[in-house]
Parts: sequence; C-alpha cells; structure tokens
Amino acid sequence: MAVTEDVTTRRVPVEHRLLGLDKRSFPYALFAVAVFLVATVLIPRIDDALDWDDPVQAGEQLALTDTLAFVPTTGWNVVRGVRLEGAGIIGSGPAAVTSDGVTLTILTGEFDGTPQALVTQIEKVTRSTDDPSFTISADTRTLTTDAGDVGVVQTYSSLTGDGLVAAFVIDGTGVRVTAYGPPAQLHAAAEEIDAMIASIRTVERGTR
Amino acid sequence: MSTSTVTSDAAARQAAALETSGWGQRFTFLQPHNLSFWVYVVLMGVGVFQTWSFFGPQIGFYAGGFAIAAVLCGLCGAAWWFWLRHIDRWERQPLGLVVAGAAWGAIAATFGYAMTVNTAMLSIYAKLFGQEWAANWAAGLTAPFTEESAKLCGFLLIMGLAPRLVRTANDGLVIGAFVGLGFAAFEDFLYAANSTGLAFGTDPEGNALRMSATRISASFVSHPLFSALVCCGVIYLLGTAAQPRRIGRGLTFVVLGMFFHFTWDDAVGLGAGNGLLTFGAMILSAVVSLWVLAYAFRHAAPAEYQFVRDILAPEVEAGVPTADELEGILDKKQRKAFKKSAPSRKAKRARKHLRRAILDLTHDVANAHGAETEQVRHARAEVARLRAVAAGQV
Repeated sequence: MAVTEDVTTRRVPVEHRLLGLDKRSFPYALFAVAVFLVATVLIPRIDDALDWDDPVQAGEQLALTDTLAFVPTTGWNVVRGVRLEGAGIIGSGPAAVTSDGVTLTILTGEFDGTPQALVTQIEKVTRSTDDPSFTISADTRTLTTDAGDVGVVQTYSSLTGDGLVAAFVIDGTGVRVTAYGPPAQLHAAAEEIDAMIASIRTVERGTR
Repeated sequence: MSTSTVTSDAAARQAAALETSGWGQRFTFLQPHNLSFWVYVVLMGVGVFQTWSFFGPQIGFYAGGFAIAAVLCGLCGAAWWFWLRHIDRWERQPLGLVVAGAAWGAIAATFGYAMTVNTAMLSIYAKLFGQEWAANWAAGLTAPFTEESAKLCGFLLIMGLAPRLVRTANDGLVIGAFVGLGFAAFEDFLYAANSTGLAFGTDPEGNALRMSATRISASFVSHPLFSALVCCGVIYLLGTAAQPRRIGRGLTFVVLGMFFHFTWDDAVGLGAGNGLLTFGAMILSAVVSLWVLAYAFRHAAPAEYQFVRDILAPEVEAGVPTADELEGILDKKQRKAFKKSAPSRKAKRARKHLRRAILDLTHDVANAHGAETEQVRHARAEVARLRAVAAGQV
C-alpha cells in the first residue's frame, strides 16, 4: 500500500508502523531534520567557536564606497570590510572593526541633508524598525575629519547597550559611524575611535 | 469506445502504467500518520516565526516599500508560476502538491534554513580565509550548498507525503522548479524589502522599486532552474518504481544544479572584478544552464511518452485517438511533422488543440483509473471533434 492511500483515516499496516507513524516516511523526514540541525545549530556553533583573526596591519585602509575610505587602528580586527590595498579586491562596502569588546561600524548611503539631520534620521529609523528604546542624547560634539569634513558625534542609549553615533555628509554621501561596547572599554578606546572617525576621507578613483 | 472491445493486453498496459506512474493519484496534505507531514508543519512554523521576527518590527515604518516589493515580486512570481503550470503537461502535478512545494521554498527554506546558515557560513569563510577572499567567493560557495539542500529537504518531504506522485525525472524537474520558484520569489522580496533601509531609510519606495526591478530582470536564471536540476538528479539517484536508479546521471544533474548556482552567484569573482568579464560569465552561465535544463527535460520526456501510450492503449485500440495522432503529440519531431502536414491553417491550429485534447483525455482516464466516467466520455468527444477539424474535414 502506498502511504498516500486513505492517508487520513487508514491505519498504517503493522509491519510499517512505529508509534502509529508510517516508517516508510521516516527517511525523508529525518533527512530534513538532520539538514535543519546542521544548518541552524552545528554550523552557527562552529562560527561562534571561531574567533576573528584578521588584524589591521599598519597602513591599511578600508573602502567604504568608490570614493570614501578610512584608516582603522592597527591591531583592531576586521569583521567586515574591504581593504584598499589588497590583491584582487572587488568593490567597497560597510565596515566593522572590533577590539577588546568594542565594535565600530561604518555605513554609507545617499543623503543630501546636514550631519545633524542625518543623526535625526538615524534615530527615527532605528527607533521605528529596530530598537524602540534607542535614544540619542542632546549633547552634540562637533568632530572635524583630518580632511576637513565637519560632522557631529552624539552618545546614544538603548536597552541593548550604550554607545556613540557620528554622522557626516560628504559630497552627497551620508556616513554613519556607530561605536559600542562595555562602558569601560569604550571609554578606553575613545581616542582610537575618534582617530578612526577623523581618518574618513575622499579617495580619488585610480589612486587606490 | 466500448470497454468490451478492449483487449486484455491494452487494459493490462493501462493498469500497469497507472500503477507505476501514479498518474491520477490525489495529493493529500493532511497525513497524521506520516512523519514527513509533521516535520513539514513544524519547520514551516519555524520559518513563519523567523519571517515575522525579521519583518515584523519594520512593517509599520516601511509599509509603502514593502507593499511595492510584494506586488512586483509577487507579479513576477505569478508569471513564472503560470509558465511552469503551462509546461507541466504530462502528469500534471496536483495544485496542492505544488503549492506545498512553493510554500516550503518561500518560507521554510529561506527563513527556516538559509538565513541562519548563510550568515554563519559567510562569517566562517571570512574568519578562515579573510575578507578579500570572502568578498570574491563566499557567496557562491555558500548558497549552492545551504540553499540547494534547504530546498531539497522540501522536495524530499513532498516525496514522503506523495511517494506515488513523485516518481519520474520529470516530476523532479517540475516540483523542484516550483520549490525553487517559491524560494526565488521570497528572496527577491527579501532583497527589495531590505533595500528600503538604504539611504538611511529616506527613499524606501524608490529603493524597493529599483531593487525589485533589478531582481526581476535576472529572474530567468534563478532558483527554479537550480532546484529543477538538483531534484531531478535526486530522483535518478534514489530510483523509484517508475525510474530505475542511475547514480552517474543523478550525481551529474545534482552537481550541475549546484555548479550553476555557484557560477551565477560568483560571476563577479569569476570575472576578476572586470565588468565585461563578469557580464560574460553571467551570460555563459545562463546559456549553458538553460541548455542543460532543456537537455534534462528532453531526457525525462520518453518515460512520460510511454506512460501516455500505455494509459491510452485501450483508447488507441478503439481508434480514439489513432496511433499516428498519439505519436504526433508526443515526440517533438513527430509533433512538428504532424502540424506541418495539416492541409490548412485552420487544420494546423486544430492539430495543436488536438494535442491538448488528447492529453486531457489521458488525464481524465488516469483520474478515473481507467473507468468509464462522464468526464472521460466528454474528453473522448472533444478528441473526435478536434480530429475532424485537424483533418481538414470541417
């Protein structure tokens, strides 16, 4: 008898029955469960067990867009990002570097307002789509990059942790910098974070 | 046709073909005694939960962009759906079965499996081989394994739910394509929905529109193609009552399905960053993969032709249709010759319709399990009517 015959009502033949289930369906079902466990438990655990070991070397830069780059602090680990000087590099994109529990991420996108307007937009979007507790403090600090672009830096707080957010608008491109981590480590890394933010600069095509 | 005129040989051929092919079998989703049913339901539940967790917080803010993405990607998916239903002309897969396949591809395979494992795999590659290597190759060396296996799980669960319906290489191609279609449509939507956050969320509708258009423009080579090859290969690998095991052929199709997924996803890496070379890699990948898909369909067709011949054996014996008419609807060359030999344009068109009518008769005979029903009598009358037009007599 095939499994499909009168499947909702018919009792499974005794030689094919285990706990009321048809044993002939087991291989398909168990394969799907096995793949599911490998995909959602085993492989993510392997990922968790592996540490990032891609430290920034002296002189390296990460490409944020075709025309923007920044200099991450030597020794921080690159979690995400495309190096400017590496062989066979393709493209550019968001960057994330981490050190001693502190993570700094940089994200870019089209934006034609002021840095302060960008911070307001970031707060609005984050509160509405990600973390309703995300609140940016009122105290604003001006930060000028080494290339002379002026942006704003503000601290934020949320239920998931506190940190700082910096915003620049360079030639129609908005730049969002976020740094977060344990308060003590974040405080200790403040100078390095400022230096990385200040290193954001325009690079000419072909000079990379 | 009078059943009394049918020889026992023709009737035996028909009965054997109906038994072996599973044509005319109904698909029942609710099967409490079947473990595949419970696994399907639970893993779909996981997918639904993950989907809601992902999109739920953003729906209110990006409602306009999400709506645009859903409509455009939904329309694209619907167009491919109708095309796949159109080419599913032999043992027409029951609607419930293909819906179950597409739903798995859309929900369980994407959010239940792929989202989690893809994130982990991309991270592992970057940790082991560095960001540069990962940027070039990680995507193409992740998705062919993670996404193809996730979609394959759905196909296998459907095999577990309908072992008599999923038996031939052609079944693998068609059902695999539907699972892949569900995955592709939802993945397109996911990309478009994610794009609403670009530009700091200042233009969600515009970004959703642009991303939907980009994804749709490349949808002709996508998950339906990859999954069709992989699932067809798995039928050959496993072997069924209707398809003897062919390990070499099965492995070839499985590997090719995954390989084309790799070449499509890693076209940028294969093009070494050169735009022209990347475009060339994509075109070459598309052409070769579509050729292989057509080859797979051609290779799977003779088994379906034989089922049609056997199921209609009593009808052919009674002259409805004739053996020539039957052969004229099966093999591509004979089909063309049959159409070409029509005496007029009207007759030519009628011969095309006759093909459809004879297939309708096959399906009705199979659905009636060879019994005489009102539907079979009607289908037979339609064949007779169209035959007269096809012969140029009307």
